[in-house]
Amino acid sequence: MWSVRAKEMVKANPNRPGRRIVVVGGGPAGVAAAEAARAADPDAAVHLVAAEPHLPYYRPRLSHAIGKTLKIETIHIHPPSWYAERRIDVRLGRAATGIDTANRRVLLDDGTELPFTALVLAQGGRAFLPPVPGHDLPGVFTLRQWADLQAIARWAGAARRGAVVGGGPLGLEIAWALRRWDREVTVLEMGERLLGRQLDARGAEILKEIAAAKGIRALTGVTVEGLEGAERVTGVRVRDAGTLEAEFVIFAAGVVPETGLAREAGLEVGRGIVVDEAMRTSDPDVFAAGDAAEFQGRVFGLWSVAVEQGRVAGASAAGGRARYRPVAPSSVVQVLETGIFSVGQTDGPRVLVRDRGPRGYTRLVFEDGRLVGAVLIGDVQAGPRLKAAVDARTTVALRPDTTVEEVLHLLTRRGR
Amino acid sequence: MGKIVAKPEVCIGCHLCQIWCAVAHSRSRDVLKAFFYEDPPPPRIVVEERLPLTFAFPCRHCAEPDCVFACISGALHKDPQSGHVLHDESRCVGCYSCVMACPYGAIVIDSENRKVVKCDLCEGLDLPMCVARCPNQALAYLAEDGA
Ligand SMILES: Cc1cc2nc3c(=O)[nH]c(=O)nc-3n(C[C@H](O)[C@H](O)[C@H](O)COP(=O)(O)OP(=O)(O)OC[C@H]3O[C@@H](n4cnc5c(N)ncnc54)[C@H](O)[C@@H]3O)c2cc1C
Repeated sequence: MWSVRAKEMVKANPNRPGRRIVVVGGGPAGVAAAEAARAADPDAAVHLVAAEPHLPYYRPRLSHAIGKTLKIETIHIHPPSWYAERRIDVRLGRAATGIDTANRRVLLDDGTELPFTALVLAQGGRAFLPPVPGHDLPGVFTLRQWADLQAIARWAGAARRGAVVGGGPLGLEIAWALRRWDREVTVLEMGERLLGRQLDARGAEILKEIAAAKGIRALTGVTVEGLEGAERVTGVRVRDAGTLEAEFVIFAAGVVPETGLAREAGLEVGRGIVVDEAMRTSDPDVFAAGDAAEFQGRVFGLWSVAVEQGRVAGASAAGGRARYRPVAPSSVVQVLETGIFSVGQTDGPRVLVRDRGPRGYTRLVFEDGRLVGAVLIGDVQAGPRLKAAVDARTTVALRPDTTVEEVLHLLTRRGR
Repeated sequence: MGKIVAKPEVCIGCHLCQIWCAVAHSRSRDVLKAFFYEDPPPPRIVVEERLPLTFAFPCRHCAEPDCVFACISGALHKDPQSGHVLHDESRCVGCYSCVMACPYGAIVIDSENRKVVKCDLCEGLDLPMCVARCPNQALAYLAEDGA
């Protein structure tokens, strides 16, 4: 009885206005933050400012949608009613243009000012477009937003031959989608290997074979010097290798955290906006999460991390005590219809390999009798167990003739 | 919220739960047809051996499911009514993020379709097939939390 009245008094007290939580960025981090903020404080005002003119959606679906018809409503993270039920005030198509930290206000591009008691920055990242000559020619794209997908679909719909710059997971996903759409595709990778972060040299060679078998040309160790063309792109100039004809070029060459607003507001920024385990920035009332945030020196660039960090940031912004527990980032991808798993070191003093080429590759790396790394191409179901074994630095008694099968059976304990 | 619980102390490692899970999710739902004439789908329950123990790992249908948080395509979701963690295969892009995220190893790769499959508690049946067919009652179905 008493506590109820006390709560009413707090509410009625004009000197204790409720929380106003503003979230900037309508990606998974922003949505998770708004949801967590609402859950932690039923009375707060919660605003979600989203520059894209659509409700938040499953961004990774974009690369799979090239050459297909996809309605954005079918990939919304939540329907409109979800936001209404949670009284989350969504401002679509509105970009934050400044943070007035002294007066605790966010400025929007339509001149609105949103006062806040706590602010969550979840602006994600933008695709990196290297400033090579010709990068601004029509026909040169990156893929990060719905609008990018539409632009690529329009252009490539009338074209036959394209180039993808970048042989990481996104570049290969895009290449495969184009190939499936019957376009001629060449992948240009600067490093010596495809999936250079995930694979050892032999694994990358196998992946190249898989690409070739699917009709995708992959060139590694090549430097893009510039793009040819006057009105529109006609080719890619490659150092020491002439010009590759292309009617369109898609760059998948990395993501740059969106840190401009935070920097201007004087927050500590490294590669991303620096946060502690409560997702708090150098300003105690400002939080950051997702691809825009840097935690323990790392910007992960992964969906699951954005969701988890968003949940913590939103709860913190509502006065909660959530802590980010770094979810070990997923080290599995599917590219070119092939599962690829990798964890830890790809090389070491003792390596066991089972190599059936494109039909399957397993690589187990040991140091001082402990499993310190693994690569799987093809069947990746054992991935989680191998990862756990590497995390635990599991000791494996190796004989000179121990086989990959034996180790897998030992570590995964799968019956038959 | 219903879920399946395993009792390793009475599991005899016969793998019948896997066979019947595959049958339950096959086209014909008939054990002979599924295994002789169809490609049976991969079982959605895993049996591990740590001899002399064996135990089945069914999906826990977690209250805070890591697999759902990790899903990048909107295929995995927790049904707000039933609490079941369900998977819409038509939306799965096969990134396998959920496979890595699940602490129980309960999400299975369907390599034929390059997607994942998971326990749906055999919605529509009285009892999940793996539970109904376990010969030693090593699997049980709890209709409600803690029941
Ligand atoms: C094609 C593609 C495939 C991917 N595949 C995978 C995958 O397989 N696995 C995986 O883990 N991850 C994948 N990712 C990465 C994943 O999508 C990101 O890690 C995740 O979206 C990051 O979430 P976020 O909320 O931090 O930022 P984002 O999703 O980038 O969202 C940020 C939003 O904020 C908006 N914004 C920016 N500035 C402002 C401003 N000033 N005011 C208002 N709004 C603003 C942006 O327009 C954007 O909509 C993929 C990404 C792409 C593009």
